Amino acid sequence: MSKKLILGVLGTLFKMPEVEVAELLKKSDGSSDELDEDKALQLIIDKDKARIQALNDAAKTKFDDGYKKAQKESMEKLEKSLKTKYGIDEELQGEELIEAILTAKVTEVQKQSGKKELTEDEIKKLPVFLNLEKTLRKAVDDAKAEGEAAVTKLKEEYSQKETFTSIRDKAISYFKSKNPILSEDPIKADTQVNNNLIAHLNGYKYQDNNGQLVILKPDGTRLEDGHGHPMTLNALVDEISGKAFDFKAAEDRKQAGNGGSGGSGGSGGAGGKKYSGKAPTSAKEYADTLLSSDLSLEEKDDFKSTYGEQFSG
Amino acid sequence: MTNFNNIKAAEVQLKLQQIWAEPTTSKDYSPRANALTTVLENQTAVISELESSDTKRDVSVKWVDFCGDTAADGTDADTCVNEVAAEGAGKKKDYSLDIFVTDKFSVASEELESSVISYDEIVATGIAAKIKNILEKFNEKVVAAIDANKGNNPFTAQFAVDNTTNKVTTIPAASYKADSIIPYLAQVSELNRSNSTFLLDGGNLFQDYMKATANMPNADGKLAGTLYGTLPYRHDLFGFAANSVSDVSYLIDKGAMAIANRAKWPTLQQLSGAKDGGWTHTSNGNFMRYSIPIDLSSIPKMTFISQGQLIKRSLFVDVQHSVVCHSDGKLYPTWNFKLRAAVLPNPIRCTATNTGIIKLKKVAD
Repeated sequence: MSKKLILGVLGTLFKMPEVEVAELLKKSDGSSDELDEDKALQLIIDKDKARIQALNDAAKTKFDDGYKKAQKESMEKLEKSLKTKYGIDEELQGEELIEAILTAKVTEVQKQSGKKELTEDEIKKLPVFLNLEKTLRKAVDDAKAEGEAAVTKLKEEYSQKETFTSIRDKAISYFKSKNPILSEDPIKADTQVNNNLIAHLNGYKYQDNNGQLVILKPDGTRLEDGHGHPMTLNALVDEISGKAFDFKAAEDRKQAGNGGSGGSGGSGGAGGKKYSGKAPTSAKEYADTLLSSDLSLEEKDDFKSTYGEQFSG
Repeated sequence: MTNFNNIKAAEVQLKLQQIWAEPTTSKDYSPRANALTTVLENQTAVISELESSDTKRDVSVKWVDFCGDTAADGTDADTCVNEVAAEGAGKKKDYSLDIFVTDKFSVASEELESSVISYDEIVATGIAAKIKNILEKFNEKVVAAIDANKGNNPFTAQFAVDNTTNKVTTIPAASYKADSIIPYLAQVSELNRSNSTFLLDGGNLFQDYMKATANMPNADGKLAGTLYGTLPYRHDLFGFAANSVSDVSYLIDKGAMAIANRAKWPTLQQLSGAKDGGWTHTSNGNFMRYSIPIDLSSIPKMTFISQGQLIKRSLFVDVQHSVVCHSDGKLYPTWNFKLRAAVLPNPIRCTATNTGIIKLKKVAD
């Protein structure tokens, strides 16, 4: 990516003037005007972490609000229904409302029967009182159960979201270690990963069973590989990303990697990869290894330095 | 004197790759060939018959066209008479490799022996320089071939269109920017019956594209970037300049052009283990003939553009090496290079003037 583009992108992300970003990304040894790409990468990663944290905080607030709302809604629904049924106009809630309904009902019964005013104990023994109290208590219990079911559902959804955030981070970390070929424009690269990997991973459910991840299909059954074994996250990332991305054959950068093939990185020197394959036994093997597309330039350079004197023309 | 053979050639090949990869040397020795890579990125045809190293072949592509508009109004009533209809027209297009770009260099053997720079480095640098020349010359021919195959612009309403003499649409400089030109080109593509197009530009839109990309993260100013997202933008400042057409862009259908390349001589892998280190002894002296791949992923990338996969990973250049005894009595190890290739237009189907390439030229307001 060009220096200008890096400064532009980071300047926008951090809301800083480009000169300040350039100062921040200077190579520590001050060897050149070039930007330190590792620093730039770390800054982008840090910024992304902060973005995810902000999203998580917002999700937590949203969950707390949703929890309160679910409980409140169930009770409000019941109270409204009882007020309409028993003709209560006052702004009463919970126990106060039940008391008011019982008092109103008993008064009505007394008036209809024409009997003298009863004591509190006599009222509580009346069948009409007992039946009504039973009905009201059940309605309250039902409303509470409904509210708790809604809360449980919210909790599950929140837990899924939290689990998926962790799954997403692990999946991206593993995916990037595979050296995918992505757009050099970080915004396009982010869109590519989100649309072609994360969106597909989000189609599954994830359960943490005492530290062991279980991936579930949308119907709740366990996701398995072709041999009936539980699918691992890395295997799922391999399967999804294999359909949508190409991968570099080897690490392009100069850091030591897992060996492998043909990046077009630097020309060796201190820190370059060492050849770790078998020693050639003939000039043909020596030439074939030099021409192989399975080794990086650094590995070939090391191979030539080690065996060149023996086989070179 | 160092003997050049298939083993030494493999070592020099490594040095050559290092020259291309090393920033200090790639600046001068890496070819810039964006038009070439753009055609390979958008090429849909594979002309393997022309590219076989075993046999030199010409190819004749034959097909039948039913191009006339013969649909007619009918009635609900059916007829038992099945009328004879017009036949299709038999057509044919011949293809052959017709571009051969050569270059060469020699180094006095005394110089190779006395220089503080290694043999591998001197020879690899010479090869890198010649391959750069060859590829850039070929790239220039790719741009010329695109221009030679330009067709008519069917949308004549908005800008001045010359479909007769120069086959060019002239667009004032004030309109030569994303928010004007890309919606216009969308309408041109639609009227040209194009399904997928890209824009190859000599530099008219280079800065406009960069500004549009840099504006994308902003809350406003996304229009230009979004428009560029609808039309793949590619540029080649060097290839166009070599053809003296830097104020020009081409709107091109995907698959409108194809590149074929043939290596006549064996690769170093094929020569591995060969008798006499790959040398051929003739009545005219001794030669070593081989071909080397130019890995197109190792040449400089197009600035701020991430290209898609190319239909060919490499182009091959044939190399002939021999040691020439000069009149000054010195021996001159000499390398001759030849790129065998073709830049081929898609055979025209129904409308001769619709080649899938439309030329645009920026003019003063």
